[in-house]
Parts: sequence; C-alpha cells; structure tokens
Amino acid sequence: MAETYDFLFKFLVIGSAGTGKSCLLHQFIENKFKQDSNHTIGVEFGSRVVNVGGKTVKLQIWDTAGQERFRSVTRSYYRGAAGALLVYDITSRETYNSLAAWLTDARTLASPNIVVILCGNKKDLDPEREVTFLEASRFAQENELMFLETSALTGENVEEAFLKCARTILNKIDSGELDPERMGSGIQYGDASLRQLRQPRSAQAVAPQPCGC
Amino acid sequence: MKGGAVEQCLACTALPPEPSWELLCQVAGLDSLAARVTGWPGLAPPAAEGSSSQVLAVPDYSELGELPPRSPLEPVCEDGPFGPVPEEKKRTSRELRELWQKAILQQILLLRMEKENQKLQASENDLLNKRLKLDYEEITPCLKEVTTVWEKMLATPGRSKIKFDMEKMHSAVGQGVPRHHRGEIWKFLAEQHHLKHQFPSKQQPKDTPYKELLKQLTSQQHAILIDLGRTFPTHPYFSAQLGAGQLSLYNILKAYSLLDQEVGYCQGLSFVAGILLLHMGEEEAFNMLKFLMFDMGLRKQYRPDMIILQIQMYQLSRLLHDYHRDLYNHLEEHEIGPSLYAAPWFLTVFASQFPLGFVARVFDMIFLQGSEVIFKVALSLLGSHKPLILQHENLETIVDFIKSTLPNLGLVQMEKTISQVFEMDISKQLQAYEVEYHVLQEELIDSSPLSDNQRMDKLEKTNSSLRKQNLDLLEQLQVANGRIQSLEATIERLLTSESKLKQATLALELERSALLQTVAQLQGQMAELSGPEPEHAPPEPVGD
Repeated sequence: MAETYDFLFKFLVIGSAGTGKSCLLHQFIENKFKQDSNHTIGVEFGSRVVNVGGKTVKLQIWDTAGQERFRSVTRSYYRGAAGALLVYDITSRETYNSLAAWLTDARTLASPNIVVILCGNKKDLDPEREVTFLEASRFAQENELMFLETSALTGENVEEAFLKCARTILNKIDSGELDPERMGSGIQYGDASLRQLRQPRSAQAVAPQPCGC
Repeated sequence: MKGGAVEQCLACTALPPEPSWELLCQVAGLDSLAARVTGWPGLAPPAAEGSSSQVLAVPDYSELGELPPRSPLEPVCEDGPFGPVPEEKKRTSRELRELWQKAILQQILLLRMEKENQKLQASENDLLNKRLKLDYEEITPCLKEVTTVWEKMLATPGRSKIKFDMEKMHSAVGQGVPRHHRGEIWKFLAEQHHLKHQFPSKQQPKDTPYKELLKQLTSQQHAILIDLGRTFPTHPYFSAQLGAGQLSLYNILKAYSLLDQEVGYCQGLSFVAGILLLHMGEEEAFNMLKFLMFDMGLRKQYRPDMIILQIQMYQLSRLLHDYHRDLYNHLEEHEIGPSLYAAPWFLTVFASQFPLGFVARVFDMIFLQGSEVIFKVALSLLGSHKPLILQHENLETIVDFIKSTLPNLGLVQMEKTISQVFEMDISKQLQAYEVEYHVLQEELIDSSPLSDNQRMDKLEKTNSSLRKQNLDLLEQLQVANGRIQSLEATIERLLTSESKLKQATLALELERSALLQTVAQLQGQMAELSGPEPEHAPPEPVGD
C-alpha cells in the first residue's frame, strides 16, 4: 500500500455503450484483453503507477457506464478529473455521432481545462470500419483534442493513449498552465501524508448539478 | 447410443406399403429423379394412386417436407449406384422399377434417420440446457419435508384460484426452495400475489401477448444486442454467441422494451431476465419479468431519469447510518457513496457479481416481499462484512473489497444473510428517507447561489417533474377510485346477500320451531298411543 509517486491524476473514461471503455482500462492495467466481461453498471475504477518524463504518476481511472440514462449517475464522478479518454467505436457511426455530447459533459462537469484524448477503439476491426481516421482527426482538431486509434483487443496504442494524456497534463503543470494546488484540478502531489483525491459524495442528497462554472 | 436409438425408431415406424410415386420423390426432395423416372418408359408412376386423400392418409410423411434434399450420410443418385441404371437395359422394367423403389425408400429412410437424429439431438440439448441452467450451488439446501410441502402446494388442483395461507408460504420460502421446482414456485408466488391483490394499486402494462410483441421491431435493438454477450458471459447457457440462451434473452428484452416504452431497455435488466430464464421457459420468464417490474416494484429504478436509483442510494446510506454507524463513518471518510458499489446490486438484483445460488435465494424473497428485499440484503451484507471493510484504509482497497471479495461469500455467510433478511422490517425508514431526500433537494434548490437563469431552469424542471408527478398521482387516483367503486359494489352485494341470508335464517328458524312443535305434538300422540299398545300386541311366541 505504500506506493510512492510524484503526482496523482484523476482520469475518466467516457463514451457510448459498447465502445470498449472497460476493455481499454483493463488492457492498460492488466496488460491483457478482458474476455467475458459484464457490461459496466454505474462506475468502476482502476489505477496504475506509470513513469512519464522522469516522474512517477499514479493514474486513478474512473470507468463509466455508457448507456445514456446512466449519465445522471456517473456525472457526479466527473468532478475534478484532470484527464479523460473519450472513446468511440470505429465500426459504429452512432457512437461517433454522440461524441460532442460527451465532450460537453466532460468540459462542463469535470473542468473546462480537462485534457481529453479521443480514442477510436476497435482498430482491429478495420474491415467493418464506419468512421474514417481522417474525419475523426478533423473532429479532434476542431475540438482541441488529441487523437489515437486504439485496440483494446491487441493492445495497440492503449498504453500510448493514457501516457499521452498524462504527459500533456505534466507539461501543462510545468508551463504553469495547470495549477495542481487549485481545488478540483484532479491533480495531487504524491506526498504520502496527502489525503485522498477528492471524490464526490454520491450518497449525498444532492443530485449532481452543474457546479455553475 | 444415438445410432441404436435411431435403429429402434426405424424398426417401429413401418413405412406405408404402397406410397404414391410422385409423393415419394417429392418427399425425398428428388425432383430431378422424379422427372427422370417419369420420363423412362415402363417406369411410369403407378397410376391414380396419388389422390390427395391418400396422400393425407400416409402417416408421418408431411414432416419430411422440409428436409434437405440429400443425405450427407451417403451419396445417392448421379454418383451413387443408381447413376448407371438407365444404361443397364438388360433388366426388365419391373426389376428396374423395383430398384428405383428400393432406392427411394432407402433415401427416405436415410432422411428419416437424420430427422430422428436431429430430434434426439434437440432433446438432448434441451436436457443439457436444463442441466446447465440449474447447475449452481444451492443455498439453504431444501429438506425432503419442505420439498414435499412445496410439491403439495404446487400440485393442488386449481391452485391459481385458491388463496394459500401467507404464513405457510412465508415459512416454506424461509425453509428453502428446491432448485428444480424454483421456476414453478416463483410462478406460484406470483399467482398468489395476484389473488391477494385483485385490484392492483400500481400501474399495469398493456396486455399485449408475447407472441405479438415478438413480431414487432424495437428501437432498443442495438442496445440490447451489445449487452447479450456481456450478460453472464461465463455461464455456459449464455456464453455461446447467439446460442439458445442469448436468443431467448434477446427475445425477452425486446418484448419488454416494446411493452414498456418508457423504460425500454436499461442495462442491468438483462441480468434479471437471465436469472428468470435459468428457471423457466422464455414466455414464462417474460411474464415473470413483467410481474417483478410492475407488481414487485422493480420497474421504477430503471426509468430514464434514474432518479429513483439515486433516491435508493440515499436511502441505503441513511440505513447504514442507522444500523452501522462506524461503517458509515468509515466510508464517508473515504468519500465512498453507495452508488460506487451498490448500483449493480440494485439494477441486477445482485446477479452480476454474486453466486447464482445466492441470487436465486434473493429472488425467492423478492417474489414474496417485493423490491425492499434488495435493501435488506445490501444492509445485511455490509453489516456482516463490517470488520473486514474497516480494515481497509483507502478508497481503492475498500471498493475493491466490496466489489470483488465480498460477493464470493461462503455458504454459511450466505445462509446467515438470507435468514437475517427474513427478520428485517425497514419499510418505515425507507418511506421516511424518501421524503427526506425530496425535502433536502428542495432546500438545496432554494439555498443555492445561482443565477436567475439557472434558477429558472431548475424551477422549470421542478415544475415539469411536479406536473408529471401530478399526472402520475391522478392516474393513481383514478385507479384508486375505480377500486373504491368496485369495493363499494362488493360491499353492497355482500350486504344484500347478508340480508337475504338473514331472512333465510329467520324463515328457517320459524320452520324449525314449527317442526319442533310438530315433533313434540307427534311425540305426545305417540305417547298417548303407546300407553294401551302392549295390550293390543302381545309378544309373539318364539320357535315352533
């Protein structure tokens, strides 16, 4: 339990149902494809300590249910996330079409400065592709997102996606663009004496509401 | 084994002596053969035999109609021994004809064997499925006496019209439910519920037949399909891609989404439907899903706004606060709310994480007591694992423990949980905490420092939700009014029949007293008569 790290980043994995969010998380943490998994009901999370640019960073990753109606439940976990993987399925245009809505949620509920990487998952199913690399990268550019096509099955680009996101956050800290001290930055110093990352009290009588920022 | 069975089958199904020629060819799918045969001089089909009445009289032939034209077991026709037949002109036409007949009969036999084989395989699959479905470890193993009690209840003639004693059912469920009767018992409990609540206070679904629903298309198709492979993915009955289990699951969920357009399909539902499917046939499982959703109160938590789920999470945390203060504080300290671990407990009725035997027991109780059972089970589980949870000192390990370790509880622990749940009554608290949630929320709206626009938005939202509530209440009122009316009618009927009965009693009593009087009179007369009687009739002498 005595993990040492320089930073702790809170990450989100969001996107429509069946795009492979949980599988991406599993591949990143366990280094293998998750066969026989249930669909995610509510929220799951996992964590892993990685080395980025000479710093050890603990990524605490929150994986959310994708079905539209679960947003009201998962939203309360967005608060204070520093980074997000916004996932769609390259074989399903529908999941691509709903990206804008997910992005709005992330920026309004987590933080306007949240670092988002767009992941076109299921890269291994190229013959069934419905969304081209080009149009997705255009979308990413327009919305100031990073972009990778990933495969939770083969593991291709999975590690890169998380690391890229972490690296960008670190750079922003270095350049002073992000202030880890600010409340709700989703970043903590890894001092052992530090308290846990702030999470929402979902049991509160408070239905998640936009924080008004 | 299989081969032997087929031979037996063949032995006992005698072929008709003189089947119609075309029919034989047709049945065997040998159209080309038929053409060739009829084209061959002297091989013309026996005339006038193929009248339709005779065709109908041929037993069993119709079922061969859909078979593939040729058996893969043995090559026939062109490549087979019949290919050269037309060349062998030395044979007489009669011989040839016999040969053809033999060939066709054999072909039919082959096809029939295959058909039988398929049937056997299908029934074997059924059996296998049945075994697969119920292959879980039973909690509260059912004693023989209890099984007998259940069997007696289940076998009661006209049982769907008889009200059984609630106490008796309660104690029977408490003592255990035999796995192989479980599906039937759930249906029985549902029947009993309907009998006791003939005027349902809750909203009821339309009564569209299952088969009708199956014919329609659902807008939820994609959502359902992507979850099929992610529902009990390791269970042999459900794991085969588009196997029997997944197909039935799809059908039920599709039909439900059509029946209940408001809920449609919600993740989590597939697990509930899956548990039902493990215990009964598809259509019955659909009916029971309907019952659990509408009558047992499971439905509200799946509605698209998911407000009820949030209220349930609040209620659970308040219950924790009441019953296990130290645990509540520990979880609060690490900012772990119930939605982090209990959402799947509620939405899948524990089915996504817990052993099937345990889940089946929870279902037993839900069929008896309704959806409150989920709270009780959750509370009991958290309570009994309190010391272990308290040992963990950070968010990740605590949640990991509750999600991964806790569900693999031992048999003893499971039984303890179940029996605890039987003793609990938390309905008052649940009600109080629901009200509390609404009050708190209102206060929150009033006190939050918001801009006018946001305030307006919120008020509008509140307004529309209140309007909806109002409509719901109106609907409930209507239902209640209807119920009152019918109850009043019942009372009136009962009153009239009571007064009729009173009159009848009165009349009968009058008659009785009159009769008594008559008897007394008669007795008096008898006594008068019997005074002098002995003199008139002296005892007869005995013997000759």
